[in-house]
This record gives sequence, C-alpha cells and structure tokens, in this order.
Amino acid sequence: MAETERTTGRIKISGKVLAAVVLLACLIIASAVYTVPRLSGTFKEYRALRKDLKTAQTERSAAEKANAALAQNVKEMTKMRTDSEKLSSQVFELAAKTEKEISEGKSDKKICYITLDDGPYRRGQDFLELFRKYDVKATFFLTTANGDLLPDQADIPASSVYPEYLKFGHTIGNHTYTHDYGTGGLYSDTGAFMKAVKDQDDFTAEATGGYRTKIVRFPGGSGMAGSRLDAITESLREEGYTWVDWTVDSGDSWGSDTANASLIKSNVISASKEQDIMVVLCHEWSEETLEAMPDIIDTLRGSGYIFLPLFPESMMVNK
Amino acid sequence: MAYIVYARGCLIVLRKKQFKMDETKQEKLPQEEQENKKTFSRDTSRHTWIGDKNEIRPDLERTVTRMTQVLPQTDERSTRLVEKQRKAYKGFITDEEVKSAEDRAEAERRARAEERAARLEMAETRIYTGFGSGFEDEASEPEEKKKVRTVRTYSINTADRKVRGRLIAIAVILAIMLALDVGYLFLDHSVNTLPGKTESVQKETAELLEENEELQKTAENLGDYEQLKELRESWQRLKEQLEE
Repeated sequence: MAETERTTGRIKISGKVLAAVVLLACLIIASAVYTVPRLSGTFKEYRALRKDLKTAQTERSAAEKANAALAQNVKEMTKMRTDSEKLSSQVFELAAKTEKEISEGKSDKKICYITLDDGPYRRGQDFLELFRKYDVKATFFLTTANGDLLPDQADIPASSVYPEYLKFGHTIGNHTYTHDYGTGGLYSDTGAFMKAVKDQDDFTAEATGGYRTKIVRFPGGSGMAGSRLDAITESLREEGYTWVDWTVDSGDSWGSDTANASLIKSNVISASKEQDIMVVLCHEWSEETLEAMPDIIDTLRGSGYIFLPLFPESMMVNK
Repeated sequence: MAYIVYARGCLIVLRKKQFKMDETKQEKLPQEEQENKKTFSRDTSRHTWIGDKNEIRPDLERTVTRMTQVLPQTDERSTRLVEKQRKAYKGFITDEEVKSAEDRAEAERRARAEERAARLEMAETRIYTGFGSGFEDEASEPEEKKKVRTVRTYSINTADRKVRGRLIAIAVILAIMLALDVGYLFLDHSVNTLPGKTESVQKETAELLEENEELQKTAENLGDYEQLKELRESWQRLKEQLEE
C-alpha cells in the first residue's frame, strides 16, 4: 500500500489507496450522520450519570474518612484499655507483694479495700462518681435478688449498669443470684449456694460481655453458712472461686435508727487505727455511707492508706 | 488576345479549385486514415497528383512575374518617397501560401490528434479525482501486461492552490466528523459503564457504612475515650504509690 509517492507538487496515489481513502471518508460521514443527532441527548445523559457518580464518590470518601477516624479512635482506645489492663495486673502484683511486706512488718504502707454489697442500685452511680472524683477504686458485690430492674429506679434494667463498674476500674464481686440467707435459703444446701453463685456469675458475664468474677461474698457473711461453711468453701474452691469477708463493718446496715454518716465514719476510722490492711463493709443502697464516704477517704488517705479493688491473689481473699 | 483571355480564365478556375481543395482537406484531416497517409492526392480539373506531399508539384509550379516601376527617390520638395510594396494579386496562389496552408493544417491535425489521445486516456480512467488530470503510466505497456496488472495511479496536483485548498477543507471536515464520532463513542461507552461504576461505588459506600457502624459499636463497648485515658492514668498513679 505504500504506493503513495510525493513528487514536486504532486502526490501519486494508487487506485487501491485512493479507494480505501474514499471508503473511509464515506464511513466517517455515514457515522457522523448517525452520531450528530444523538450527541446532545447522550451528552446530557452522560452529565447526569457523571453527577451521580461524583455524589456516590463523595459519599464514599466521607465514609472512608469517618471509618479512618473511627478506626484510629478504636485503635487508640484499645491500646489504652490494654495498657490499663497491663497496669492493673502490675498493680495487683505489687499490691500482693506489699500486703506480704505489711504483714511481715517490712512496709509501713497501708491498704484499704472498700466493698459495697447488695447492688446494683441507682445510688451506685453516685458512689462511682464519688470514687472517680477521689480517685478511689473499690469492689462491688452484686446480686440479682432485687430483680431485673434497679430497686431505686425501676425504669433502668439492672444489667445495664454492670459495665459502668468496670469502666472505672472497680472490681465486681459475686454476691449470689438470690441473696437468700434465711431458713431454707442458700445455706440449707451446698448445691443451692453453688447454683446461686453460678447463676450470678452467668448474669454478670452476660451483662458485661464476658467478665467473670472469681471473688464471692457470702450474703450476711460466711458466718451465716454455719456448719455448711466448709462444704460450701470446698465446693467454691473446686469451681475455682475464692471468697472474702470484711475486717471493718461500717455499720450502715445496722438499721435506720442507729446508722448515720457520723457513726459510719467513726466505725471505719477507729478501725483503721488498728489495721494496716482492711476490708471495709458498706452497702450500695446506703445514703449515709455515701454521705460519710468523702470524709472517710480523706482521713484514711491522710493516714497513708492506698485504696485498691479486691483481687483474687490478695491475702485478704480466702482461697 | 484570345489566348491571353483563355489563360487568365484558366488561372481563375485553378485558384478556385485550389481553395476548394484546401477546405476539403481541412475537413478530412481529423480522419485517422487520412492522417496516416504519407501521400495525398489532389484533384484538379486536369489530373490527379499522386506523390509525396513535400515534393514540388510541377503542375502548380509557375513563375510569378511582377511589374515594377522605377520611381523617383524624392519628390519635388526633396521629401524622400517610400516605395509602397504592391500586394500580390489575389487571383494567384503562390507556393509559399500553399506551403504555409499545409503547415497550418498539419499543425492543427497534430493538435487534434493529441487532444483526442488525451480524451481517450481520460475516458479509460475509472475514477476521476477531480483534483488534476489523470494519466496512466501503463498506457504505453502492451495489452497483455495491462490485463494482468490493473494497478492504476492517480496524481493530485498539490501545487495548485485551489486543489490544495479543497484537500485541506475536506480533511478538516472529515477530522471534525471523526472527532464527533469518537466523542460520541466515548460518551456512549461512558453512558453504558457509568451506572455500573456508580453502583459499585454505592456498594462500597454501603460496606464502609456497615464497617463504620461496627466500629462505632466497638468504640462504644470500649467506653469513653476520656474515661479510658483517665483510667489508665489512675492505674499508673496506683502503681507509683505502691512502688514508692
């Protein structure tokens, strides 16, 4: 086909090439005749579709940005949580060591475990706020004996407040599912006690998304178990549970006519003079305890007490 | 006297016949048969001449006598007088006149023959470009070769401004049309593919939003950012207290 030759002022083209050129020109013209009337409509459609695509791309871009920001946030939060867990483990190890040193008289440090029984209550949130303010960590022994709703605010499900205790680094303890220490209650049968413990454990795990506590507090104290105490503690040990009583009773459960903020404060502070490691019994429902708590914390802190949540390795916890 | 009158009459007749013969010859010139003839015949009232056309015909050869008169060079006032050339007598045809008439006829015949050949050549051209005069290189080739090889070439005279202008105009129009065609093809292709792309992007966005919701839930489960930060610091303080 390379027969096209350029001479001075003339182009020589072979017949085939010329025919091909003419055919091509005809095709272009025919195509243009088909194309031109449709061009405007197609262009409008193209613009509309392009606009849709741009909108979709903008939405995707926004979603990507939001995702990236959230992912970064989650990453940081997860890291902080992991750090907190690591630090709490280190704190418990140090606390166990310190307890030992205190008991051996090798350390002048003092440790106070504040425990609040019978929750959850709406008042529990006030205690949480107070502890947050005073940078105190405590232990909450929870039961489901009050029903599925909070006794002092019936529109809030009890399970919904469980995670709140964990958010602030407090320990949740098992105070049995029924809290029934009357005749024919928990202590009438080891199996019944263990069932109440396990039911509460499951409830806690469900409410918190998997948290399982191994620290049990006997409703009314281990003394209520009487002759069945050994059997029950043996069963608890077999199931991997530990149990704890208290060394100081704040007196907030002694009855409304006797219990008041000043008595509670007096009870705790006077006991602290004799104990370097103490487990203080309080109740979540007690308004008087909430009232007395700031003074108790200030006084004990002034005496050199460190406020810690209970942990299974503590020497105060029975294994 | 009678003889002179007779001779003069013969010459007049001869002249008329000569002119008639020239006209006949002019008409017959386009005919190819006549062209190829090396000889020609000419009828006269007395005989037919057969021979070479370049030969001098004895029957037409004659001596032309011209009367001259010696005129004085100047007039009475000493003004130079110019002799006025007398024109040849129209009643006679000289050999030069015959020769020049034959040359003219021959030249015209050749011109016609060339024009005819050119026309024939153009008639044989299958596609006429319109931009110049087509010609065949193979025109001089033998007939057998022509039948086997049918490649023809066409020449476009680009030196001609008019032709070049037309070529450029057509090329520009074709280029615009081609651009429109290509543009339409692109738009048509885009119109067909864009909905798919949009759908794909929307699907990705939906997936991202789902992921977003999951992340949001995870973040909510993890707790408040400030609280987590506070908790970590709180544990750090406790650790420091125990380490003191």
